[in-house]
Amino acid sequence: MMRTTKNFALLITGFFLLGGFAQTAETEKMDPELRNKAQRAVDAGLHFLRGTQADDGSWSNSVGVTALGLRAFLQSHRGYNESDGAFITLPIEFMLAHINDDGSISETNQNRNYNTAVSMTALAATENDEYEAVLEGARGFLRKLQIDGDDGYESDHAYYGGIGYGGDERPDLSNAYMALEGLQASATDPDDPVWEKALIFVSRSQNRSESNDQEWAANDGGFTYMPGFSPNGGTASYGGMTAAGLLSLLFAGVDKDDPRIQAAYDWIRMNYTLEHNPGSDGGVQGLYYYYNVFSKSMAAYGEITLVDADGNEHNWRNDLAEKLLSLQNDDGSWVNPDSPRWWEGNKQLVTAWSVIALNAALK
Amino acid sequence: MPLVAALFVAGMLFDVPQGPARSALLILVYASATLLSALLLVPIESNMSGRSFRILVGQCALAITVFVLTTQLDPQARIQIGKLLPLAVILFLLLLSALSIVMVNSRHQDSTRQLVFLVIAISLSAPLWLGPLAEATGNSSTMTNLIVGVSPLSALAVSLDLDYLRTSWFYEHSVLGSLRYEYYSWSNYVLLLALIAAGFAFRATGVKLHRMPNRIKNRVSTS
Repeated sequence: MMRTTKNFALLITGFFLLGGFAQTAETEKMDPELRNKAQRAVDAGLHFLRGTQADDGSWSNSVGVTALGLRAFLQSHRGYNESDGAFITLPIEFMLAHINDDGSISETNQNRNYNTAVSMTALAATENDEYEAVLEGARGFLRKLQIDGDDGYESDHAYYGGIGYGGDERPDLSNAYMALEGLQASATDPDDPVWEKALIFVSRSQNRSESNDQEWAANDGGFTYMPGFSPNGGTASYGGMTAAGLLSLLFAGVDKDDPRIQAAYDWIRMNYTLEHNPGSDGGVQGLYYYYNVFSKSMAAYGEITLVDADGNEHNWRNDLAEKLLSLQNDDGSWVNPDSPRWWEGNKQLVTAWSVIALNAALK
Repeated sequence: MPLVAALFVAGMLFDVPQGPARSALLILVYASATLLSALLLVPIESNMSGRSFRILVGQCALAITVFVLTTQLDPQARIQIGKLLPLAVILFLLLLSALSIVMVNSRHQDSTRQLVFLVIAISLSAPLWLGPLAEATGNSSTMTNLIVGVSPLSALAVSLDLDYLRTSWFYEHSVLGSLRYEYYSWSNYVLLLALIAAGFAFRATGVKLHRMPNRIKNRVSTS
């Protein structure tokens, strides 16, 4: 009896010791002092969002911005959920009020993919099973939106497997990545054909001729906006899309050691900077989009540090937190003062993106 | 016949690339070509009368018929007639409004026609060169909506439920596709264009009243 008690005490001690080590390892992902500052920055960002929330719970009268704002709250270190009050439940009601017959969640015919995808991610973040039917409808919408044989496109076409804005527009990697994020967050079956088809499109957006059958494909491993076009000229790779491409590959179930992922990761390492969006025109366009997707992709990739082209080791969490802290406005918001492209002149959207980026770094 | 030739040439000149919105974009090309060619080709009588205006309406309708037939004959542009109807209405009103302006200034018909043609041509291409202005206004979606909305191309695209600014070619050539904007609704365009057409038609009638001999004018005003 005595011996059993002693063994039990040892077991308990060992458990706490292991827990302590695990806790230390978690903490080491980010400098502890910086972690505190980043958490305060998140709080300030959420305070700004709460202060600018419309009476109906929305932000910017947009389903997309509302979903991103909601996600910023739900995934924050505060652990908000629906029991915390109307500032959480009203945005959900706003989104649910904009469900369309085709399963999309959007207040407009434009941006239906973005709006639906980010709504899916936000609804999934509530961890409330009540929204499963809504998510299933949205999954159906995204499946239908994906360009495939039903639209008259064979698998050898550059657009095959891609997803666009939601009308008859061409697909692009940005829309595809957000759709995949929504599908992944809402626990879409890994055997669903949507992934395999998406993988074909994503691979065709990468500058890697070994896995991209398009003539234009170069070999720097980065990603462009869509097959054959980059807003930065030609088919140039750039930061926002390369992080989105890497994340898309991971969402689609590609192994971390896959050469496509390694090539994308190497591009990020070789072009590593948080001063601007590497490879973009002037570096200011899509800057916060870059911060957002960079943070999520690095968190998903799972390395604490990366080594840049000069051999310098970087803790990306520390770097990102420091950068975002330096850019935060006194009212807790973030905004891109240099370029309104992709809505980065919208404080609510950019604040939500920045908080989500910090949330990913703080995890 | 010249209109048919113009549409044929437009279809040849603008090689719309393969893509999900190809037929809609081809229709936009044909619609724009119809608008511009009809502005140059449709005759307007210098001696205006109610009959002349009715002839003008008929000629606009004829131009629209040619446009519809062209889209139906081109397998790449062919869509259901029912889906083409909203665009045909907008195109008809655009044409009638523009020609009504020419009609009002019938004494300087040639110069007015050239001016209207120029304004329409410039506004059709506005999304390509007004983008930087929209970008410079920062986060003002009202200004961006206005800039997008002034182009007849937007009125035509709205009729097809097409977000043309985010199709490949426009996205590559105009910054507007990356900004926040909303198109004005089809009904707004119809209302605005109908008001313009009616306003100028009324003005033309008024001009005619001034030119009538006094005895006829008195009879018209007392009846």
